[in-house]
Amino acid sequence: MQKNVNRLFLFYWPWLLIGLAVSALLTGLYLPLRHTPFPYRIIAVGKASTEGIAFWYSIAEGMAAAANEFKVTVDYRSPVDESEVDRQIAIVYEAIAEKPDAIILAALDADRLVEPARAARAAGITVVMVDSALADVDKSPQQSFIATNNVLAGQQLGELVLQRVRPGAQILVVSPSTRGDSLIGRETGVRAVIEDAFDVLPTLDTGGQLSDDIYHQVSQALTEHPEIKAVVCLNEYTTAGSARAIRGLSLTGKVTLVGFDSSEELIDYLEEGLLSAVVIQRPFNMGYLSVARTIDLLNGRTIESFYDTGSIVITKDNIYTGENQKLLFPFEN
Amino acid sequence: MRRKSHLRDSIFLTSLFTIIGILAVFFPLSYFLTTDLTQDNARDYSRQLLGQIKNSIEFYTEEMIMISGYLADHPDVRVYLEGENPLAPSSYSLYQQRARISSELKAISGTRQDLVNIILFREDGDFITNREHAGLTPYWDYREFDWYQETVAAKGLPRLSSSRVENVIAGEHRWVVSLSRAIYDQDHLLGVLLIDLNFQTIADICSNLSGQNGAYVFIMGANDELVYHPQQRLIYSSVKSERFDLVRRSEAIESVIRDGIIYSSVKIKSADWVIVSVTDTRQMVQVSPLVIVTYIGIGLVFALIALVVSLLASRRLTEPILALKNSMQQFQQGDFNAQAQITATNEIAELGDQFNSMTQQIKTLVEHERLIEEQKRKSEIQALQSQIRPHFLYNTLESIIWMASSGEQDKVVEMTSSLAKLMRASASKAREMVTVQMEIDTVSHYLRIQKLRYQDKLQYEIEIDPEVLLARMLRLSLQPLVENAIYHGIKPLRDGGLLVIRAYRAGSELLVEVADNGVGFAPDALHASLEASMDEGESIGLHNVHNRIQLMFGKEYGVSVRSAGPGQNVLDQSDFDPAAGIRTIVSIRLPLVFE
Repeated sequence: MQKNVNRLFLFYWPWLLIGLAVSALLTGLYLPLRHTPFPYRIIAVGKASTEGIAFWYSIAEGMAAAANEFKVTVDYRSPVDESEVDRQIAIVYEAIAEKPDAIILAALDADRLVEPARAARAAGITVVMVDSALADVDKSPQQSFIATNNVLAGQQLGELVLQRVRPGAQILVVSPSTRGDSLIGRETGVRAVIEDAFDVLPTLDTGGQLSDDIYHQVSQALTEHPEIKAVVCLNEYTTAGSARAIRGLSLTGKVTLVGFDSSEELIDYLEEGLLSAVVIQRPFNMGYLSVARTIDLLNGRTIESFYDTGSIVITKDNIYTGENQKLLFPFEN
Repeated sequence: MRRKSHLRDSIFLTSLFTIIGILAVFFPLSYFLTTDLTQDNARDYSRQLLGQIKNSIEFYTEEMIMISGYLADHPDVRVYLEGENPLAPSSYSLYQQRARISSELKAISGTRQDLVNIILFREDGDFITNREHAGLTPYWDYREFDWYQETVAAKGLPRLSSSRVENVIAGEHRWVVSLSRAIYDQDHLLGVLLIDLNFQTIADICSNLSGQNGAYVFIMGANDELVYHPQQRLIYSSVKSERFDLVRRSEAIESVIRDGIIYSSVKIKSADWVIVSVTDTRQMVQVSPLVIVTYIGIGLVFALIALVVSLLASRRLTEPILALKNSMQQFQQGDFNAQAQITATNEIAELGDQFNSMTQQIKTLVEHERLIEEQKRKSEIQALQSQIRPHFLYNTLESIIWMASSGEQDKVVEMTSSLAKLMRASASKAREMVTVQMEIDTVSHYLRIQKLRYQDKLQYEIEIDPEVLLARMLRLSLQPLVENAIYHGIKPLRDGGLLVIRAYRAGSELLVEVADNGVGFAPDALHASLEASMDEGESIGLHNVHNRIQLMFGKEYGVSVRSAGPGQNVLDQSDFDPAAGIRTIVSIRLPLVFE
């Protein structure tokens, strides 16, 4: 009988062992899986407030859409306007202290935001850039960048000037800042197209402030350089300020204005003819994709280092067509 | 060697794999049934939802159509549209009419917050709105817009636009859905009526009623353009895509299920819009690894239970068989008392009972056989024993006759006395076995008889180790050997010979030797003497003793002969005095037994 018991164990042991091994394996799989339902917490640090600035409003809207779809939380923060680099740096450090899973950042200053981004990475936080990247992309702490290809968008602006202005004319380029990566890219693109064909003045850097100040600076430039035939603006409020300056100096029709981004005010100028054309971005897509790709990264997937969300040329004739309507008139949902 | 396969293992494996097989079928089946059920519920729910949204939207579109119909037939509107230019200062009544229409439009939009603009365009470019201070945009001529031209082409039928930004009012860009209608007098175009519904109203209906479990609703317009989609901008730029091919333009709700996603679509009554609800059931049935792992885990627990159950079942079935097998092996090894102890009450128990009764029968049979065998042996032994008597009697009686006739009275008396004692000793049928002492006594009587016959020609010596005096040996087994030695060994000698009887112990055996210095055996004669049958005369005695011993004690015992053969002087390998000239030794080898 003893012999039989021994043989019994010899025969059934392997089965029991296999059963135990599979159980252990399944438990090993089960435990990590149980943790996935906890939502990721993402803090987005933009360049400017969503209030009154359609571009940032749409970015935040896109982020919210993605947050809703992928069941994560996205908290949008920013300085009031784009002149406050120090404030943005402080916001990033505050965000790091809250230990989110990821920070989505639109750098106001391509160089000065590198340090805060490094600190975030050092704290184990995923860093994805939106709209404006950090300098020195190869060594920078950013893990991906979702934006308009600003050099291409700048080239589109340049083409608009080429189509509308007699060669050799004097051209003024107006930029709110020469530090932001997106603006540097646009200026590079514009200049690459128009530099040879025109007399391009040194870029007017308006210092990041809002329209009123720009109005004065552009008016002054137009007065000082009466030969200017076209003004190329690199963002929304420099375009608005320049438009007001041109109208203020009664130069409508004499100075061609091309700008970047859109607003209710700019659409009025487009319909009126004061503004010849704008190149617009897809801020909603930018916001949406920045969150979607960040989640991909957090989930351990490999993603590209850059995603181009594209840019579109808007003139009076195509304001009310399909996608353009949605881009130019983002409504609240 | 053939690999042994065990019944228990087969039963165990069979039941285990059967149970696992059932689980493997049952779990996917129940999973798919659950999925189907969930999908059916989700589809019913989506159709219900779609019905609600359809009703809500139709409420607004039909209201707009109703208002447009009301205004198109309104007498004041007719007069206004057909009349002269109302800005001409002379026409006072027309100015009053304008004021009446304007307040009518205000009254209508006042009751409905959702109606943003109601504008009556007269064919000549004049217009009336519901809004006091709203002017038309100076940058566009509305008559060049697509919607205007399509409305005119629709010949008085109401036209519902897609979602659009209203751009006829100066300084305003509002998202609306527009209902427009051309007003004709027969074939003559009088004007166009435009009613703008705040698009937010439609969007709110769609977004409020959807949103659960990843379900959403979108609306497609007449030209397959998107009127509303929660992710419209992502679709425009191809970041997201939608399965427009699954949309059905039908007045009844139609559902298409593709890859776990339910597309239910319905066309609204009054316009060429299709409302589509999209429900992703994949999230409801949770094809998550968690669920799969849980299912496998439960399956594994059941499989373990199956393992234990099949283990117990196989043991319960095979234990009685094993018990039966063990009993059979015992039986095979010769234990006729082997009985299968089986506690079960099934066929195996029956088998055990039958085995038990079979062993009983075999045991009885074997017992019977052995009794018969023993009986036969005994009768054989007796037969062999009785062969001795006449043979010896004749010889002795002849001697007595010879001595009597020659008047040797004393010798006759002595010989007859010894014969009588010998006869008494051998006639007793009481015991088969006697002590060595008794057998020696018997042989002594015999030797005395022979000594009387052969006188000096026969010398004999008896050397018995006292240790074996009480050992047992076969009755009348020594006498034939002595007789054999006298007749075949000593008698042929001219000058007589010596006979020596010895009995001693050799280990666990008793050796009784009869040695003589007679003529000896030829090897052939020796062989013949042991193997000869009973009828073959003189060496019968030796043969009988040998057979009797073997019958009684087994093949390893019996009679053996060592002889130097004729013409040879020395017998090797014996401890007899070489001077005695012993040439033949006949030994009885027996187990040493003291009763």
